[in-house]
Amino acid sequence: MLFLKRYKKYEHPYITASIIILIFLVFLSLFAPVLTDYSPVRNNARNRLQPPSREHLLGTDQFGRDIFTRILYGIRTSMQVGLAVVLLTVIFGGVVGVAAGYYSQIDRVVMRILDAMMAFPGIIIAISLAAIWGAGKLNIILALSFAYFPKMARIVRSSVISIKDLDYVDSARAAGAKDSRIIVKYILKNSASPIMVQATFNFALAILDEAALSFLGVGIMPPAPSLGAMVTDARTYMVVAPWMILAPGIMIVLAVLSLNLLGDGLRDLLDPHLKNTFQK
Amino acid sequence: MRNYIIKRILLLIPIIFIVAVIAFFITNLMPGDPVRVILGNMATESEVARLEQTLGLDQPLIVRFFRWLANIMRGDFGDSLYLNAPVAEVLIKRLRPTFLIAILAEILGIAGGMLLGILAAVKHRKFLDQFSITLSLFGISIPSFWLALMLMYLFSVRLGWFPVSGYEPFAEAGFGTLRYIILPAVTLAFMQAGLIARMTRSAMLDTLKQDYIRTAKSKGLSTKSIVFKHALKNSMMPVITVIGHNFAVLLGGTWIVETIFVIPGTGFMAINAIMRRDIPVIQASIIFVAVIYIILNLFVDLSYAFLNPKIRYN
Repeated sequence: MLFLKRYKKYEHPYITASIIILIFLVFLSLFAPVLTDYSPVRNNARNRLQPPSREHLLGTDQFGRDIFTRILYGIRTSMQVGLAVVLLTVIFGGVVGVAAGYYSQIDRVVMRILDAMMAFPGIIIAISLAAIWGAGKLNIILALSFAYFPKMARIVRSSVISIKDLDYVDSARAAGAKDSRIIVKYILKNSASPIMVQATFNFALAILDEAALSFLGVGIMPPAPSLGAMVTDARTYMVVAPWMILAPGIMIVLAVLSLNLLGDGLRDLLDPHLKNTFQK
Repeated sequence: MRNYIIKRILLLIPIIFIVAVIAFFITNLMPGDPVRVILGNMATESEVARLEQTLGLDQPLIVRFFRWLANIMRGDFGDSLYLNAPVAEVLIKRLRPTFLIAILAEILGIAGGMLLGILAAVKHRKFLDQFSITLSLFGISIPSFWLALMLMYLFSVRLGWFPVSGYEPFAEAGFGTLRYIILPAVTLAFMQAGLIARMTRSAMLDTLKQDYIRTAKSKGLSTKSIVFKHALKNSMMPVITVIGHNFAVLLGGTWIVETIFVIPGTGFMAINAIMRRDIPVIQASIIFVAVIYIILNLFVDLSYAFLNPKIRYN
């Protein structure tokens, strides 16, 4: 793979660091049930609003639930939402982008629609859609995917346009290759880099926006654990229980930061033509 | 140039039409029947039918859409279901706090972001570069709602420098208004500064590699004059684009920070309207944000054409 080859060639501390953090977070979310004995949702009235201690590493919330446990399950929710949004965005954006880029007859119409969709900030589309469909994991996954796919479609489209008239595609066409074969084998394969970079940034954005939606009460429904909803709870008890607010926020920052770092690194690594962030 | 401007403005018509389509259909798919909301649970079937007829809700969706579109073209967004006033009037009344926050945030973001970006490019691969990369990465990775609460906890609850929440209009409080909007603006500025710093840095690095910069250097010009007189101007185009594109993110952010700091602006109004299914207000708020974004980006594109004649003739 190109990625691994280049990765070996240029030592890249940013990518390494971000991958280590991400593996750590995936580990936490996968092994949440093993790492903690507490339940993320069961109330324990006697332990309300306990400050951090040996039994409760990060303290407890207003229902006596262990915050460390809620964080582990919360990061699990973030990862699930992020991954699902990335998959759906790549699929929708890929199909629309290839259609617009490859078939120039529909390009204009599709582009106008995408332009209009991009006039709405993603978070506003997502809030409105989540309000229509109701809160819940599946609905916010769909809402965020809907909000992000226009940008992905544009990126795929411009990549397809830059590739489709290259000589090797023309020669494939001359040799009698069908559209489907040209698209999959010659065009998509060579558009993988910008798609991967954008997908990484979308992953980060999805975690950020899922937290914001849950914070506003239109995302993950309580008592299901979500980092954003934990911040909402913490806000109410900010003065009496300040420990509640730090941990979920830091966890979000850690996840988003490492994904953005990975995105920057991938962009530098995979596409020498793009604006480099770290290396020049 | 004039033809180019006219062409660009004509291109906006289909986009604004599609924006209206999206805003209408998103809001009309919302669950909850506005008629039932207005009349309450005790209403009889005939009362419901009568109000539906007055509001035109018995018509097919497509007829309602064009009727609604004709109305908003005249600036009539209908009446709010809760505030008992025309939506356009309410929206205009609430513009000021939102604009104050957005403009202050944009100024802080541009100042901070460009400063960081220039420093990073000039001190390429030195400590200041690393520092500014890290800081701007944090800027784009911190959730605004959490940052808002942390700032609130530190500066309002602990230090007591600013009010925890609320708002007083400029007419009553004078410059005291700033005390209410400074924390929301700083929250939003953080992300803008991060985005702008990253773009400024890479655009500056590109420019500093150009031949004419080397010429300026060999002429013996000082670093200061090279950076500010020669390099900065030519690095501005991508930076302006980032500012234009991310103004939508900024406006989306006002929805969240206004809700947290309880500031009666358009964002707070929009979130409340969504929670209460106040459909005319939601429609107007969504269209408002989109149209501002579209107009701003028209100006960005026009400034391109102004700065670079090549674009005009394409």
